[in-house]
Amino acid sequence: MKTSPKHKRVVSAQLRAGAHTVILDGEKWSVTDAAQMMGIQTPAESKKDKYRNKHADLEQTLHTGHIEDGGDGISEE
Amino acid sequence: MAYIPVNSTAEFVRLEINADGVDYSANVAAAFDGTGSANVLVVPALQDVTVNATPGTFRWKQLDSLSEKVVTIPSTNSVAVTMVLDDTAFFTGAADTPGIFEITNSKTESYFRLYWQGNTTGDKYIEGYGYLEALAPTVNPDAPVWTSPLTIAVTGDYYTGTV
Repeated sequence: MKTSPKHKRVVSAQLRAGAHTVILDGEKWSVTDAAQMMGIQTPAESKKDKYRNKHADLEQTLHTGHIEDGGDGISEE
Repeated sequence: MAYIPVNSTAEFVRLEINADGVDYSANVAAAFDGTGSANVLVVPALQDVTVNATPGTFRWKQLDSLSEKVVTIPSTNSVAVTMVLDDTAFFTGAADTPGIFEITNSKTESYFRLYWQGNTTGDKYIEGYGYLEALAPTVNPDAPVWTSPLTIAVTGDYYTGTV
């Protein structure tokens, strides 16, 4: 797949819009496949990452009693 | 406001022709997206493209008015390109669509689709049907590659669409 800034822009927009397919230079692609090949994070991956971050924060809290700055959505209270 | 640049690979102008002899009538999209898609010939190596969409007008003057009156008459539509001749596109064609020379020679009704800025989701195109004309291949010692103008004389309206 040839990628260009335009293709990345279009795939990102289709991802945000929740579309399942995208046409790139006349070829039909699954939006998630295209996003993965272009290194664009999909919403599902983004959620997974958030979960991983929260999980890491919780583990850190268990071990140290506090979390470092940059914890995602978890407050020290 | 956004310009329509065509200066990157994903934004190249693209002209497709389907002259498989099927009468798709006004359902032009079927010649490109549906059953006819296997017979689409992409016209390569375009050098320039001009889309002519000219509503005709009839003007008259009358003695009780200081300015002309105008009414519209049917439009004259055509797409004019100049291309570098490609052996396959010019002589062979694609599946049931013959080469451009044969399409012109046999006066086959042709369906066309012109993408303004690539054919990626969201890109705009116009399409329609008509006849290929004004083919005039030329070559000379100072420009030793065959080039030719080509005009698509459009029958009826243009149709617009988005990929």
